[in-house]
Amino acid sequence: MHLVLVGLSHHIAPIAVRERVNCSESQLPHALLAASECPNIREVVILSTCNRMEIYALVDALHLSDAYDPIVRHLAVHHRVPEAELKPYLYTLHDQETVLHLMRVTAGLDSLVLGEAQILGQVKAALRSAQAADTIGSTLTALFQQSISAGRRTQAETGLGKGAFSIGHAAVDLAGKVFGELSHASVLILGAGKMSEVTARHLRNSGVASVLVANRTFARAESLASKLGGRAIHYDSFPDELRRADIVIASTAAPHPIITRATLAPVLRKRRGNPLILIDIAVPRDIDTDVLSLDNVFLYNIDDLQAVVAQEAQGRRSEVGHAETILDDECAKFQNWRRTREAAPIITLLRQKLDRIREEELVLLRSQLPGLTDREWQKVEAAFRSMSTKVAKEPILRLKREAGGGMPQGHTDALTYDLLTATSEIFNLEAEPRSTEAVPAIVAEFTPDATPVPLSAGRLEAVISRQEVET
Amino acid sequence: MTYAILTVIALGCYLASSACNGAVLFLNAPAAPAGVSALPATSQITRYGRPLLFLGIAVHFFAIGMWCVSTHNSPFASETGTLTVLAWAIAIAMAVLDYRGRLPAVSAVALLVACLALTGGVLLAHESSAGTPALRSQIINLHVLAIVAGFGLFAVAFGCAALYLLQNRALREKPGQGLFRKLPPLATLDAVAYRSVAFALPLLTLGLGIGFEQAFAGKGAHSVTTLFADPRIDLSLVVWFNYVVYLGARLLLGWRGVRLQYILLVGMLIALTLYLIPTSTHRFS
Repeated sequence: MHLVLVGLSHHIAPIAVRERVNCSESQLPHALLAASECPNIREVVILSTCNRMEIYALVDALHLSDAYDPIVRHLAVHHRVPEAELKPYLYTLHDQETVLHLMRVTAGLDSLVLGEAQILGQVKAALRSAQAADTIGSTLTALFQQSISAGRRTQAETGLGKGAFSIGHAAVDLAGKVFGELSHASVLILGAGKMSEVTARHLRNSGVASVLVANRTFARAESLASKLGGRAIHYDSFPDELRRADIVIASTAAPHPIITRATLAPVLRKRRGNPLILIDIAVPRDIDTDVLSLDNVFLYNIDDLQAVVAQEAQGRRSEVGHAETILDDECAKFQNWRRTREAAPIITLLRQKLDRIREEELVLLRSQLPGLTDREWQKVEAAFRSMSTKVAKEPILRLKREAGGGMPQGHTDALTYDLLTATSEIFNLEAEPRSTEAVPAIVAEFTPDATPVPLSAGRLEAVISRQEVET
Repeated sequence: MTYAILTVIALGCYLASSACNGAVLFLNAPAAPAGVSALPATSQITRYGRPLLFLGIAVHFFAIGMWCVSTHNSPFASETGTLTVLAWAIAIAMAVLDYRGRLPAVSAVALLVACLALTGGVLLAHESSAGTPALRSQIINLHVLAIVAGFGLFAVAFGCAALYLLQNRALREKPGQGLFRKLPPLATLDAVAYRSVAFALPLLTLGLGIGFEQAFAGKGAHSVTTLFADPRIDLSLVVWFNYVVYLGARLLLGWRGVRLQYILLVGMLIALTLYLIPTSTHRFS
């Protein structure tokens, strides 16, 4: 089984290509079902955002090309894009690379804006969609859950998710550093342009108490006010509102400043020292810089806000190393879980086989030695049980050690899989049906902090059977 | 001797706590330039600030106890004891503030004031602590305790005001450098300073009231002329009036912003000069 990824992203694929293979939320179930019908695919998840389109799959294929080709063909056919056009923009990853890539994506390390947290929600949504479409099993569920956990850790333990990501964020950050809570702050917007709308929307989402919009064309002010849940006022009345506003966003097309020291000084006297934030995102500027000579006035123009964003981005870049360490750790946890998952059925089958041999021998012995008392039989049974346990002990311990990641230096996954195959062949375990569900009870023993897997009927049986063989 | 050792340990704890809390101004993960992230994260360093502060308070408590046992006097019977209790009051005020909501930058500044007071106490430790009979009176001790506790809270307000002005400057002049991120919001600093003064002013009023009552009616009563000829008393009244103006301007006139912070700075500077100017009525021996 291989974990593979076929996808494209903003790194190499232009928007013209990305938009052709993009899946909307409503199209995703259909796309998932179509992808799950590709040959060899056991599980599949599609992560489709405006910056990437990635198909994560668990495939049962001997050669990786057998795994990739059907997915590439599916992408081309499903999205009606010629394969030849698509291929130059596609990347393919497998196993460890896939795991690490998804974790980097979820942590925002692969995002257009480094460290942005929106992708974490998009990965969660992709997992939910695959679960709803029933195209995902325990392996990809565990991978996605481990990646979400890794994303959360990097957001919490590093400075990657902190700071301003855009001009709107920067405005909110600065306002927060003046007023603390923004729930009592009121915003006055001068000019109903797109920039002021975006900035005001950030402030609105941060919980400001009220929004007033003033524009020379009153209808446009009303339109923006309704979008933001605010109130439109006539442009001429904005100087009166300066007395009550805490944050002013100016983005008019006026050719000269509309707020100067002369207009602001009388207003400030009435404000009695209450701070006033002026955000001037107009070019040419709407607010004269001479207002900065007034106390308790904070003026930010587009360059100031961009400087904040740039400074934060630099800080986030310095956190990448720390984030990578966390991702390596989370990646190792998942790989550990996966190796253990491969070993668990073999261990269970080995135990069951030895138990069955013991039982068969005891039945045979019982017919040959009818004169033994119950007490003597108990001793014989105990001796047989002890012997089978001792025989199984060393191979099981070794398998557990290899699967649990405690391999000697220089050994690789190949050793684990060789040992599994060897054990299976030596004890003729292949003759028995290998239940892939008979895993988690033993998995949990190896990796106590592994991502929890829902308790299915098969898993329950495995727990019970293990408890039985342990007794 | 034990008192001196314990006091120095407490001083060390306060200094270390101040440094740990102050680290927030110099180390900050998201704003750090490339390479700085190799240093321990700010949050890890500031985490040590709280236990160090609590340790300092506990050691300081024993130091004051040792002083009382060895001199058979209250700590207010001497200049050194009074300064020591002032430092302790500031530390306790900071511990309460820390418990209510973490403001490491405020802790750093206020604990530095505590360290100044404690250093003064250590330097004056060799002076006689015989104490006049009046200093053994419970009511005089209450007078000093109320004033010292009030000054402790004024020190917290001072820390907030100083940081307010720093944050105000960072936000007005160089937002791109990111210093504003390391300091608390202006509204928080303003609110903490206001609450500190709101608790401190009644304490100062109580302390001064007891003082005047004792000066006029107690043993060894002074005349009005001799009392107001003492610059320490005059300055105490100026300090009191300064904080009354602060609260009045804030509550009655609705003032906010920079002007109020200057009133707090002036108040603390006058309060500190109280300890330096000569006095004719406040003697420890």
